[in-house]
Amino acid sequence: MEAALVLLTQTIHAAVPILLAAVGEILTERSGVVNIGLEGLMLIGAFVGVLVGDVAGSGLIGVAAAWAVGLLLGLLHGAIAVYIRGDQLVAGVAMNLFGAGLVAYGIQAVWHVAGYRQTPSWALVDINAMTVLAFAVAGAMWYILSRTRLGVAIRASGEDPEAAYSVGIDVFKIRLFSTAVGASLASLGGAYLSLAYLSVVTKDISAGRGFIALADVVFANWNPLLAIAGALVFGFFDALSYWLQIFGVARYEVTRMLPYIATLLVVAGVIGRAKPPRALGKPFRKE
Amino acid sequence: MRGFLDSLLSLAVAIAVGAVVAYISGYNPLLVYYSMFVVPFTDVVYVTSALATATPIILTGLTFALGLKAGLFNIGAEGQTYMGALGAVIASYLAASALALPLSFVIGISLAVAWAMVPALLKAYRGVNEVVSTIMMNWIAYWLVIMEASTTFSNPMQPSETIKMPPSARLTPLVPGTSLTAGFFVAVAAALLVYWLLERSVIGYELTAAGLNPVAARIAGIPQSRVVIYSFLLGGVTSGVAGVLQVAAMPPSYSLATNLANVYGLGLDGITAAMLGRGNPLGTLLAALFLGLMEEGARHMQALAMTPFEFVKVLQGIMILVIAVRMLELWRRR
Amino acid sequence: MIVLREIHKVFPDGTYALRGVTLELKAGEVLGLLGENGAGKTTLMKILSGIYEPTRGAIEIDGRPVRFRSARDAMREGIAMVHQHLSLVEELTPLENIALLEGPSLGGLGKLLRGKVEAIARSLGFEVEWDRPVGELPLGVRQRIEIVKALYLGARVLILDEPTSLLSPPEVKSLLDIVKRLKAEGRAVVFITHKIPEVLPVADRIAVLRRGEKVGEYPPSVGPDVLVEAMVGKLKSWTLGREGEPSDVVLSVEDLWVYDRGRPLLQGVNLSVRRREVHALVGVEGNGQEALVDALVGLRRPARGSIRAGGLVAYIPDDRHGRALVLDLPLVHNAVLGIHRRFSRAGLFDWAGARRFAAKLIEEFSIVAPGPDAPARSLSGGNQQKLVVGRELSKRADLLIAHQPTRGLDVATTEYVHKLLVDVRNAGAGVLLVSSDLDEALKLADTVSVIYRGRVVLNKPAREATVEEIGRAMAGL
Ligand SMILES: Nc1ncnc2c1ncn2[C@@H]1O[C@H](COP(=O)(O)OP(=O)(O)O)[C@@H](O)[C@H]1O
Ligand SMILES: [Mg+2]
Repeated sequence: MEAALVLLTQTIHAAVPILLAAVGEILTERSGVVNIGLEGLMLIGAFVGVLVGDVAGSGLIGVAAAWAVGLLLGLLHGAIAVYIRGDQLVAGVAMNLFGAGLVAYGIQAVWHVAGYRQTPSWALVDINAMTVLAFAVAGAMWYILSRTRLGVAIRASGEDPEAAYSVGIDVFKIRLFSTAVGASLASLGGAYLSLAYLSVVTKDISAGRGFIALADVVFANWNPLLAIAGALVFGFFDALSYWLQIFGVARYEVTRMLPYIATLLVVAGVIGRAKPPRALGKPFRKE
Repeated sequence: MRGFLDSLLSLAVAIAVGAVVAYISGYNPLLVYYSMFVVPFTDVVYVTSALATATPIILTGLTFALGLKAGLFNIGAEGQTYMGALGAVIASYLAASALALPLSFVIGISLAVAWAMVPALLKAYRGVNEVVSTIMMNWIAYWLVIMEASTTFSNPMQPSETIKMPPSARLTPLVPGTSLTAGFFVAVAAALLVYWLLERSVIGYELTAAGLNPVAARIAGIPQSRVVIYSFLLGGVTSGVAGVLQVAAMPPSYSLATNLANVYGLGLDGITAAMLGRGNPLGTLLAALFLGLMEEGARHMQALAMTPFEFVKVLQGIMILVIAVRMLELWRRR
Repeated sequence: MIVLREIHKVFPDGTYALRGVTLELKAGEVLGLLGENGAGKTTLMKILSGIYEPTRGAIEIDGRPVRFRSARDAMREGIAMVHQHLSLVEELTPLENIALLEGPSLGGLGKLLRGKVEAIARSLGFEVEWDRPVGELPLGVRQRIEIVKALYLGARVLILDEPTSLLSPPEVKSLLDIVKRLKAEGRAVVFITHKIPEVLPVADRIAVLRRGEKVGEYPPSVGPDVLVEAMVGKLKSWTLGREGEPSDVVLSVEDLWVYDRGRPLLQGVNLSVRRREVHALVGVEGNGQEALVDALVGLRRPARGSIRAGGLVAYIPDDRHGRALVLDLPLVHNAVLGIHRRFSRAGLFDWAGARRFAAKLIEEFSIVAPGPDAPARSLSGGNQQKLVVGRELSKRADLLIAHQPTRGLDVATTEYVHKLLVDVRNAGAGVLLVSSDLDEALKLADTVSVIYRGRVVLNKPAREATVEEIGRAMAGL
């Protein structure tokens, strides 16, 4: 019984970073922009969180800084996607490469250690508070997207930007805003990893979670509430892998494969039913 | 030509931004760039080392370029390279003679292609997004190969490595004292072959057409499934070869590190190369040579300017970001 | 009163769409705006509704010059346009579509909005399901939602761009009633069309555009003949000599069912095409034509039923950019698309042969192009279509599927394509012509079928069918 409860708690805790990144990406994609740079954003968020939290002596400031940096990088991606009409997939890949490079470099340059830095105790934040925050964000996102005029404008921009523009919606601003906020959530997920969940920052701390979040978006059919379910499924396998390891059921390496295999299976099973926003990834131009 | 100018421009921007990053982190940008771009040319050993570094990047770059041609984002070179390397290790385990070399290619390429076929079939018949599936396959390969390298195929003499390639099966340096092997020419030949295939073969025509307009291609009797499978198949072959060469043509160890150090990150470097080379196999070749030079330079930078090796990855990330922006086009649009 | 004065419009790609058009518009009148496809009607009205800015010229409202930078600006002056391609977001409900007009905010959708919207609909005498996604509603209803949208914004000038192209004949009648009500309320209506009989009963005044210029203004009483000549000028048409009678069957479709996410698009379609036959399938757009064509060319898998095509199939799609061409590749590549395997020499491409073939197409179909290596994108629309038609005809197929083959073409090219279709028929192939243009269908067809809500509801030899009969079948009567 107690074991089940612990497993449940661990599942929820493991779900948080995926949930945050997925909900952010849902917002971004609902507005019509693709950002496959979640992995890089998570890495940067994890790094910036520890860096700033350490210096400022406060985890909360670290979290805020990670969120803000994510927002800025999201603005960059949004500007490339929306105004410059650059290649969104390429920009996303670039964000992943840049994140991986920056964090590996940063850990070396700042702390003079190779790829691994323990989060100092004064920079840690309460894991339960961030967990509640993540689930609240998912709920709020659902409400905004489905029940408010802002949500209607966001969905219209992602489904049919020409129509939205023709009735006076500033598709450009909506997309820029959605992309920035979406990216900031991925970065927040990264800060959760380093400041609350794993208490360490490494050069590959995100370990594919950014891409699992992309899978979750499809699994959830672009619905933030369903993304909670998806994140819990992925979180469960993550938690399970540690358990199997602790009890020596399988080799360490085998258990570490589990979340990725699960993701692959889930995505293979669910696709076809999912319906992406119609204008997803297509740059919008006037006239 | 325009692509080339774009790439040069992106390099210029990356160097400028990188200088700021280096300066902020307390390194001397001039010394950083001197050691990165000038020092490699000062000794033939350095130059050949740069070419050796470029070798696997050419091959993994081709994987991504083949995907791009067909309109696919095949991020799977990373895992396929691991599988290719594992194949070479298995061959070394099975054969203790020169036979291990051809066997390496057979097993390595087969494993890599098998690894590529999972996302290809999922895409072709289930519509699964290849970005997600290839990344998942990469991580699965990562843990699988680490496990195999540190158990069945571990080297009892050197716990951080697998068993070595039998000496008679190794591709040894062409110029003694350097690391340049025939592997480099294999990679260059692969790039030329892929280029020729795309330009002159019917399959090349079909990949190109489907990459630019999948619906029109389907109507013209070019099913998406065929395109995905061929593109991933060829990509699997080149990545597999990259992995095999990282073991069979890698002096002095001729083995796979159990932490995968000699194959880790090659798939990502390939993406960088293919993007810098605009998805063109010859452009990818050139870009990979350049990246090889940068990474060789980064080793000197580490020693001379005390700057972390990963600085080179920051530069590359910025370069691709600039490519995404397509600066020249922006310029012209005004 | 609104005046458009000396309006010129040159598009960024160099198309000179309007060459100094002057037009007046008064409250409480219906202005018919008539012209061939490509005459510039839509462009002119997009300028009036603030979507495009004119290259030269001025807009005045009650003597006061105005400048519109966006549709918003024009709406502020009470001018609204209902576009040919409706600008409703299909995934949103009608109510959400109207809520969009209020701009983004964290506010909810609101009851007030709903009350207001329902009142407008009632005043025009119709009902709408406000909470279903627009994509699930019939086109006629969507058009009404657009009108409600315009009135919600307080439009005093309503521009309807080719409003009947989406409607069946009875729906057209009720649209005309709505137009009359709008006029009675003192609003001005611009009714754009290229079909003369539609404007005659409602318009107070008819302006005719041809090639970006206003040819003249006429009262409806002048009658069709004058208007036709004003629209198209003197026309030299090909004689369409039919030779031989329909013979054996080349396409047979039996009990075909196609679904899209559970929604039936085709509900048991039966159809056959014979050699030496142009079989025209007509219907209001969106009644399953697309699904049928998709199933025939293998883009959609039918849930039930059979398709038997005897021999080689050629296909001229309605959307040449999306389906027939790879715009970023050179003309040669496009000239062999679909027959490229004929140029395979042990897996290698015979580029010299492909080049010769492309040169022959250019010659035979008088395609104007810089050369075989020019990107397909650089060709004009008409020449792109000639390339597609030429390529498909050169397949010497047993069956040709032509879907809206003349949409967006100028008059001369249209005539040319018509002639080619009949030539194909005479040469012994079967032609399935899918068109929403009744005139085109009746001009070319040996046999006519009407599709309505995914079923073939009428099938007759063309010479036995009357226009009225077909019109009623298109409306499901
Ligand atoms: N956005 C555009 N860019 C370039 N050319 C255009 C554009 N829109 C319309 N045209 C061209 O302008 C001419 C007039 O088009 P349009 O106003 O749509 O005609 P109509 O509505 O009378 O059929 C046509 O030749 C058309 O191809
Ligand atoms: Mg028009």
